[in-house]
Amino acid sequence: MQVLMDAFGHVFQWHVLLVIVLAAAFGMLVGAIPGLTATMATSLLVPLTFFMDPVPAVATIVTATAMAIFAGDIPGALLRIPGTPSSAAYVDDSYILSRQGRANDALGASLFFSVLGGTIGTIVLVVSAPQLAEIALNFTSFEYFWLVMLGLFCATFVSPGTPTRGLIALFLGLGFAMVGQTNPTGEPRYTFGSIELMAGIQFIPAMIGLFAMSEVMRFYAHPFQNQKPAGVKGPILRQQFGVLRRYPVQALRGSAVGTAIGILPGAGADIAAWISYAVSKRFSRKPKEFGKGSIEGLVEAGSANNASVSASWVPALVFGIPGDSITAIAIGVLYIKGINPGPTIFLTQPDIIYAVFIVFFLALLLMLPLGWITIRAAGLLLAIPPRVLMPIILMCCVTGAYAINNSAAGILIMLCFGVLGFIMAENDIPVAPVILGLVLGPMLEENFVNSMIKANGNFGAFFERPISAALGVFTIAVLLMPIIRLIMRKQRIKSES
Amino acid sequence: MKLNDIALGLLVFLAGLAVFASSWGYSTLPNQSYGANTMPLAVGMLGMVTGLALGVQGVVQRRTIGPVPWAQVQRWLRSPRHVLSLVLLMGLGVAYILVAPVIGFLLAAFLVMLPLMRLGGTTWLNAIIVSALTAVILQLIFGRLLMVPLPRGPLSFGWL
Repeated sequence: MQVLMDAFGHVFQWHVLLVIVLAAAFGMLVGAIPGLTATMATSLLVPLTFFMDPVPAVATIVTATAMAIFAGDIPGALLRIPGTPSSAAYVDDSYILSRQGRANDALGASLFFSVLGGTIGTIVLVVSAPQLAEIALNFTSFEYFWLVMLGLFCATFVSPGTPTRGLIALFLGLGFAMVGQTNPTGEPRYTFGSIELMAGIQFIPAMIGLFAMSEVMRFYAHPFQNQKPAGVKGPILRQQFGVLRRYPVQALRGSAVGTAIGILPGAGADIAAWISYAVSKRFSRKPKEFGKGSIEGLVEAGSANNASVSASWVPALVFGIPGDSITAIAIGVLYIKGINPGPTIFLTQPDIIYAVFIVFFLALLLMLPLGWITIRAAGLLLAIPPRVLMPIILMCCVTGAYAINNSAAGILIMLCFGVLGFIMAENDIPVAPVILGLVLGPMLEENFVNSMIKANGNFGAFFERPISAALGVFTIAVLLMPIIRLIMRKQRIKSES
Repeated sequence: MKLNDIALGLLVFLAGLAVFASSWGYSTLPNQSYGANTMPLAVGMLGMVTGLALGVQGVVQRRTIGPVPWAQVQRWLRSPRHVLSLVLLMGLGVAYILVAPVIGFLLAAFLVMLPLMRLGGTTWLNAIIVSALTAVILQLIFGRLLMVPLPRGPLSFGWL
């Protein structure tokens, strides 16, 4: 009880509440503007969180992300340009509904079911994380090794593009993670004589470059102009209780699938939305309406993406293994704050964890009024021309990258990673595995080397403990999945011909 | 520029090979077979296998679909305006690093944003107002509120 009181004490301070409201407004703004993603919102906020206490720092990320994932639906519905990739699955449905004059129905459903999905995901997080942490306390380097591998391979194989391209991104991420002195012998690795690189590649400037700077570059290579959408008329939330009565199964199934995908290390809101949409279509009585203005698909996938946002914090907090690129960034922030995510955090700093849980509920509570205002103000928001916005984002990137160490090296790293992110996108290589590789690389190395030393070089030891063996088999199955799928596809083509 | 699978595979294979080869330069823990060299060895192998797999995919694709150019030049690369925009963007980023310690954050930030706004077609007046306002707001947030020692210059006086 005392822990809970402490947690409330951490959150209910005027400056923390102010930070939450400001982060929510920022998340809404970034999510609603086409071309700016939820990950970009997070990466632009990280330099600010650097100067905050742990609770407001995490609160900023949690709130901004939840808002941005919902707000991504707004330009999707009004302009057919999903604000964030997680809104892409049902963009046709919401856009067609808008063209039928039902933008209020589409966006109302997005908002209502985002809150519902987010609430279910958060309840699962609150209930399961402490239980899982108790189990995880018995984990050794063998289990952690497999968990890290699972996270890395899931992120690689479920990212957009072919698995081989995902592996290229993973290779790059792990490669960058090797730079510096943080290795078993402590000798400088790939530093090329630079003192700046001794501590490794600075994570935050790299991430700002990959997610925000590359987006600015993409705008100057492929400029686009926002169209001016019409405003949203009619009630937004009132009719949603009727929709819930009509599609209760879809709402629950979407939230359940989203939560399950979120918990899986390496998979995030984008994948949750796509899979949920496909599941909804598969079980629908009217599958032909999907893609042509189906509220049903919107309900299910809209619940799923926000459910996964909360659930992706389960592996992040319990094992210290990020559920998606956003929690990868959050983990980086936690480490900087001196909080090492993992099962022991539930013993050493439970008040911080409970404060994070409270923030999740507060963010969802804020989402309803702020979402309502954003939907009403959508016409104004979407009229902000990107030609004005992009130079401002560039300057935010430059200042943010500098602020981490007060050194120009941060800006240089940010620019280099911006170019890398741009080139990767041009070659259809996903960016998320790079950031996961960068975060998880040192953990992978430490757990592998420790395990091999403990096992006297016997790799079979990774399969001797039951949980380690189960995780190992599961990881190998994920690794072999693309090959199995390829063989199955070839056999199908052969039998058809 | 988009490379085809064979070219990209070759590039990744060579990078993997370089990482793999570099692992010989790093030592192991005393009396152990593992150490600073373990990770480069594994990551190098991952790069080589991935590069090889992508290359094989490219060869199979070449046989089934037909030859794909080694590198596809995207539309923006053929437009001098777009190439110049990107060069200017990166150039301004590097220029900021060089000039900010001399002229200060406020002026440097303003001078980075102004040409980019004009490049996008923003009117002079709007570009000047937005660039100046953004520079001041960033200075207040980072410089005053978060106490980041942003470079000071001739315009740094009073609360700026």
